[in-house]
Amino acid sequence: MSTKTALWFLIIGVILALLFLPPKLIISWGLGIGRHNDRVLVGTIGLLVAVVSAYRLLRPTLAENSK
Amino acid sequence: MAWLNKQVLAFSLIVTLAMNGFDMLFHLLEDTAVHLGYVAVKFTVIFLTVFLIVHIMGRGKEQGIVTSITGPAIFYVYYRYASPTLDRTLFKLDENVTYLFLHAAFLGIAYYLTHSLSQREGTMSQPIFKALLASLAASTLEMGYHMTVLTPTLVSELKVFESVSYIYLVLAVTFALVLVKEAFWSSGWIHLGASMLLIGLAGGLTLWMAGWSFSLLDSVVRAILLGIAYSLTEASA
Repeated sequence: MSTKTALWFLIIGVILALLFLPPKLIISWGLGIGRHNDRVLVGTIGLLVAVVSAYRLLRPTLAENSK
Repeated sequence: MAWLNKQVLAFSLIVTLAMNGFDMLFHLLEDTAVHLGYVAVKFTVIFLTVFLIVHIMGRGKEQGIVTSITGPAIFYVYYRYASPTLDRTLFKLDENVTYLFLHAAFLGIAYYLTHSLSQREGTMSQPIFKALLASLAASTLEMGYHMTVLTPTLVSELKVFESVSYIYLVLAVTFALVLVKEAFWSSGWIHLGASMLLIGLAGGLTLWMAGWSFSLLDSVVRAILLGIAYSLTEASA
C-alpha cells in the first residue's frame, strides 16, 4: 500500500467512524440507514481501517520491509 | 486475486479461531453465557484487525503487539457505542474493562503461537504449537457449529452444554491426533489432504464413540470441522 493510498484510507476510515455519533444526530442528517447497531459496526470497521492506515503512515519502513 | 494471499488468510483465520477458542473456554469455565451475536462481532473485528495488519504491515513482534492492543480495543469501542440497541440484560459481559486486557492477552498468545509456528521450523516446540492451535481452532468451530445448528435459537448460548467436558474432549482428541500425525508422518502439502481426512475421521469417530454425536451427519460435520482446523493450522505455517 502506497503512502497516498494509506492517506485516502485514513480519511475514508475517519468519515465512516463518524457513524459513532449519537443516533438522533445521524438520523437528522438523513443518514439513518439500518439500525444503530449496524451503523456502529460499519463505524467500527471504518475506525479499524483508519487505525491500520495511520500505523502504515507512521511506520512506512516496516511496511516496505514486509513485502 | 493476487492481494488475497492464501497464507495471510490462513494465518489471520487461525489466530482469530485460537483467540476465540481461549476466550470461549474461559467463559465456559467462568460459567458465563457465550452468545452467538457477541462471538460473531468479536470474530469479525479480530479477524479484520489481524488480516489488515498482516496484509499491510507484515508479521512480527511489533505487529503482534499492535494487533493485540488494536483488536480488543476496537471491539470494546463497538461494545460501548452499540449499547443503545443491545439488550443489556443479555449483553453485559464486556462492560467490565478487565475483559479488554483478557482479550488482548488471549490474542497475544494466539498470535505468538501462530507466528512461532512459521519461525521455528524443525524445532521440538513446533508440533506442540501446531497441535495446540489446531485443537483450539477445532473447539471454536465446534462451538460455532453447536450455536448455529444444534441450538438455533434467537440468542444461542453455550450454557446448553451439559458439561464443559465435551469441549475438553474435542480439544484433547484434536491435540492428540495432530501430535501423533506430526510424530509419525512428515508434514507437507502432499500429505495435507490425507492428513486432513485421517484426523477428521478419527476425531469424528472418537466423538461418536464417546456418545457426543447425535447422528451420522453430525459425526461427518465434526470430522470436516476437525479437518478444516488442522488444514488451516498447516497452511498458516
